[in-house]
Amino acid sequence: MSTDIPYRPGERFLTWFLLALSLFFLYESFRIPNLTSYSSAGAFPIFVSSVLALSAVRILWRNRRSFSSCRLGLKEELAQTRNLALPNVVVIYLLILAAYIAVAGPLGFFISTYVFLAGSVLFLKGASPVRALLLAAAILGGVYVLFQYIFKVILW
Amino acid sequence: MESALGYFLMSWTSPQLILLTAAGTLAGIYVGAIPGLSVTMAVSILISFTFSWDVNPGLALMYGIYMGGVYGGSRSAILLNIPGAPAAVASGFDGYPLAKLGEAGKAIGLATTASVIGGFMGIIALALAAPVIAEFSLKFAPRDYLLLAVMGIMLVGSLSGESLAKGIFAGGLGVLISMIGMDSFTGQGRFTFGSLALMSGIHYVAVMIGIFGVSEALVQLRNIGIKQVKQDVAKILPSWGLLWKNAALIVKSALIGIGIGALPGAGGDIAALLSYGHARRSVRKPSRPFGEGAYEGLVAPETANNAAIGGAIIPMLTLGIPGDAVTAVVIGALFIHGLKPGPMLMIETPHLFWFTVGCLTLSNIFLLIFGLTGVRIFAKLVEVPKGLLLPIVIVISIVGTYAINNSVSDVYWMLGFGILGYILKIYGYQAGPVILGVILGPLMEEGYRRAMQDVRNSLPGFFWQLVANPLTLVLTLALVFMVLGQTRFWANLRGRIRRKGC
Repeated sequence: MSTDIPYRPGERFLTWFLLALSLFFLYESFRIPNLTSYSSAGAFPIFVSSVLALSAVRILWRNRRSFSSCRLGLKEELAQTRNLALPNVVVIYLLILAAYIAVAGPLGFFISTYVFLAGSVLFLKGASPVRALLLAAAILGGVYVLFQYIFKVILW
Repeated sequence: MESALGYFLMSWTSPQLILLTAAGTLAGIYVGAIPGLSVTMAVSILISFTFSWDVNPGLALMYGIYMGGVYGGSRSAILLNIPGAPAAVASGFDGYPLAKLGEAGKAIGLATTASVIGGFMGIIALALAAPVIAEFSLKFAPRDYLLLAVMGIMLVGSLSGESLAKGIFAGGLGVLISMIGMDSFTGQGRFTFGSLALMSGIHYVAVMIGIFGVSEALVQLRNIGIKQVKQDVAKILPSWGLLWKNAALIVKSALIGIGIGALPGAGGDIAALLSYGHARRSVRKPSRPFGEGAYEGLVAPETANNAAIGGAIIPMLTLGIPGDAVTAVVIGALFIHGLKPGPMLMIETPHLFWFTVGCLTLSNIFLLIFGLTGVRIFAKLVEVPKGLLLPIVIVISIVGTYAINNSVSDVYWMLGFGILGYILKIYGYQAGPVILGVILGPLMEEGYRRAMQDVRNSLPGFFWQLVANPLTLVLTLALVFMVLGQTRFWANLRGRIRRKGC
């Protein structure tokens, strides 16, 4: 096990968040009704969420030195966290993806998927505009034949 | 004996059965390789249009898909780092680094050969040792399944991440996700927050596609400008020297695969992970460090997961208990055809047993043929610009997720888990333990609760059972040593012993 992992901006925020999440699930586990025996519905969730919380505490303890050695101000660390975890290309693509899923139902499979494919290829510079439009059509055709006719999947 | 041989050769002498076995194997390879399509899903869909067929053609197609699909998962694991099936999770640990080094062809060739050898060994075990192994697996109590599942998660948690705590957290998170929805024992809702939609839980395929498919695509986006490594697929067949060097590892991995596969509920995924862990511990001089493209890290899981197929069929046919998810579906198919898998099946319908052995053998031969051909087409996948490849992966992932229940909400779950998996990956948490937790969670919980019920909900009784039974004691000790082996105490102790030895 490696012990010399350099500090990644935002790591302490994530670890604290995971600890809070574990404690939330632990609280929710205790709220599962009829907790009367060690084999009732809530017993195993309590055990698992306790393991999660203890693991998060262990991660915090193990990294306490690297976490405390971080000399960045809050604003600066947040900016570096964004650069590390959520660079522009990821954020924009996630928005495109969310928009595709949101409009897939109303627009139907063909239009939504074609626009998504062509837009994605153009945004990610996978091909020139004309090739992107042609490739999107070809990929769409391939996906349609594969799922509709070979795997008998009903597309929306 | 003659009749057994006749039943064995049944699928070898009928052109229709040969064609169906071949078609099933080829389809299985592609189903296994395409992220978002699972062998379980394909076999389930197959049942819907083969139930009007005779039992033999239906089984020939299903066994072909099963055999090809378990192997096929390794292709996307090697080329895209997206295991097409849970059984291929461990194959990506060293398979993908090999592809990044430009050795995708060699990796696929090696995976194919290892899979075929493992497959043959599994089939031989099925044919020769079925009654013995089935009898042994009968001795496993629920607590043993719990220990086995914990070992699986611990193993992958300790192997694939930068710290054991992060591995345990990731595995625990997966187990927690598997508990969302209705409790199968009492019907109570858990972590549903009053939502009816959550009562049916979150389908593990949506989690798997999100955490492996979408999150990997998001990670790849960060390196969109980096030029792809040209894959060398000119030499696919591994050298005899390489195979001979790994012969002992192949045999040991196959034995692990057969043993684990024979345990009800534990299939190729655990077998592959355990054999990967075994290889990592036992191979002193790997070709490269594990995790950086060691051939041994690919050979071990690929041998084990295909060997587990023969193993998984043992309890299915002899006890009527599925060895894994696919055999559970196959049991459903046998019921549809009026057959009742169980101890009486081999007595009343011996032809079915030998037909199964013959079909699997034929499918394994087709696996070798199809596995070593068409690799160039697959290898071209990674030479395609990421700007073109990633949207395709995303669309296939979305359509595959939608296909689970024809539901858009599964797609939203997939996206959510994709983002979660991406963030966790950036900060050194691995995806493997999360998925393993999701898959093994129900088995663990069932093992725990049944074990507790066995001792009438007595906590001391539960712990006593962990050491009172010889079989359970072995598993408990293995788990304790696994945990201790990851601590500084153990490293210091070993250091001291070595110094004293000097």
